[in-house]
Amino acid sequence: MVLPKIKNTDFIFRRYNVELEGPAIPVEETPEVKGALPKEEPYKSLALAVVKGDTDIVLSKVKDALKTIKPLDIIEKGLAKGMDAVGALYASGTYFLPNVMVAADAMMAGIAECEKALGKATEKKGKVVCHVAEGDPHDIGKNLVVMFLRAAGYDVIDLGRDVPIETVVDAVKKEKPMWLTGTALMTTTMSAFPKISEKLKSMGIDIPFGCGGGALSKEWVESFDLGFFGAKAHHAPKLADAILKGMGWKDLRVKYNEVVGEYSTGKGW
Amino acid sequence: MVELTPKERAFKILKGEKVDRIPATSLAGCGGTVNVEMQEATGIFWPEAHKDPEKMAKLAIASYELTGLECVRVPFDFVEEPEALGCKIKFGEKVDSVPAVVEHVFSSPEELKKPENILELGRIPVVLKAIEILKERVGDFLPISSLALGPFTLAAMLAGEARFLTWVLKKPDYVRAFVDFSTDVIIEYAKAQYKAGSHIVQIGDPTASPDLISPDAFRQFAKPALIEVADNLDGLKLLHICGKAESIVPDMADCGYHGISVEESVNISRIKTLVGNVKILGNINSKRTLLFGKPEEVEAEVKLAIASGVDFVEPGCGFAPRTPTRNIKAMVEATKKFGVKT
Repeated sequence: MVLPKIKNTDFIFRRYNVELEGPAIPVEETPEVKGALPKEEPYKSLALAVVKGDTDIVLSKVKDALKTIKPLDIIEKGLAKGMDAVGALYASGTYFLPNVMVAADAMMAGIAECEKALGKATEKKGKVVCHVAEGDPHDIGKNLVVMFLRAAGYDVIDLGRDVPIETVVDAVKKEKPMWLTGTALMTTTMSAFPKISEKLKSMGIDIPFGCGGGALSKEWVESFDLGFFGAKAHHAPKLADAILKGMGWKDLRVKYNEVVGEYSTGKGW
Repeated sequence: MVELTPKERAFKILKGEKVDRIPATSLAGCGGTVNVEMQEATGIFWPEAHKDPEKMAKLAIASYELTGLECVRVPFDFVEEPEALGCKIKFGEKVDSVPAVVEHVFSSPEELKKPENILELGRIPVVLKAIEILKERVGDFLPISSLALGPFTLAAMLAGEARFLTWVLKKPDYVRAFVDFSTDVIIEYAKAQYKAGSHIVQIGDPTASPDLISPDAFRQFAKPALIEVADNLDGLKLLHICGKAESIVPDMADCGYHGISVEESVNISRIKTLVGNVKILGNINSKRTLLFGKPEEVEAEVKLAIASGVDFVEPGCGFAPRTPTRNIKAMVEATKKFGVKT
């Protein structure tokens, strides 16, 4: 094919939508990240490395920081702030699951490095038991909840996916968590949740049971006691903080949007 | 005028011809057409029916006989390809258990190997045989649809979804290699479905949904493969993507399928102008209205879907196994009532 010779290519390669969309801006310039990131170094770069999901940079920055800064400060003032920004980017639709997952990997690597320096696991705020409904192998949502909670300093007992009702009930009995979460993607597996609620109630256990996932709706989750609907994985830390302060499942049903600081439609994600 | 058969009607709509009314079908979607009540009525139960062509075909026909649904569809799950390629599947023991992948097989492009005899592996022969039986028994009267996975979804199943999603950012070359590999498998399987007698092949690509990956990632990784699949299939074909898919509807319509299937989160009147001649299948709420709602609520949703411009009234993502038969009937009846074209 013979191409015509064109001197001025501007009209071919010009992006007409620049004015409409605005130029593509780097993630650190987005309002979500600017609002969540710490101002001072090295916390800012630590947090930003988490936002970008770059495990290698996180690790090298953490190792550097450990020479002068306490491991706990690195986690709380740096890494965790990065995860806050990731949550905000996810909420605004800028980030999608892959971004959240690589950020989570980077942050967990950073935390592990800090705990190594500390010689022990960090002090935890409270205990949460997480699981995926019996019969359901879809655990991405649950893994995100686990990761967001760990990043926020909670001790998470992760029961995994496809967890039998009895195992969940036994774990609650043994671990005495402040909160239980259950996720389900399939309409066929979510029926496990009211059964778990029944068993816990019959044993006199009254803890919030946060249920979420593609198959669920607020309306359905509130059809059984203890249950409240969790709309998005990144809401978990704020919900945990509220539960830690003593908020129960009845209040969480009513005050959900207020607690997480976002509007939720009450449908699965 | 002689009334159209459901098969003629579906064919005409997908080919862009005028028909007497909108049909009530479930040609596409991750869920199937069979519920627990149908299993009880026929005495044919899951998980056995997932593995036996005769039982599979009988249950599929029951979904028409017991509700008037204007199609038949097999299989009732969507893990045939990963199973044939070696993924471990959990079938579950209950009548509402949907088989699912529990162990993934490939962790790098070097490991990808397509078996020569893929059409003879796992339950692929079961599905193909079930299609043959359906063709013989109802193929003159009802449209037969069958399911093959979208390349992105199959690729994610082969690698494990969590790992695969991180590859989208970290190892795009891996994603491409897995998707390319999956594309070949799907084309071969889908062609075999037509050959066995399927009228309409549904490509179901739930993992490519904006619920999981960004529209950019969809355009980069999933869409080219969907186009390649469509280009290689001569028969009628549909594309189903569930979740909040509205942002990729123009891309879905662009992939070369006769129709796209979307769920309740998508606003049909809004997308109607974006899809050109591509038909829209949907989008009665599978998870709430059909599963838990009253027949009146189903009727109201059908009325709205028709007014919004669907070409086929369908559940947004197939029927959940616990969907009551009366709600499926309500969907069919309401469609016949409100779907007449003037």
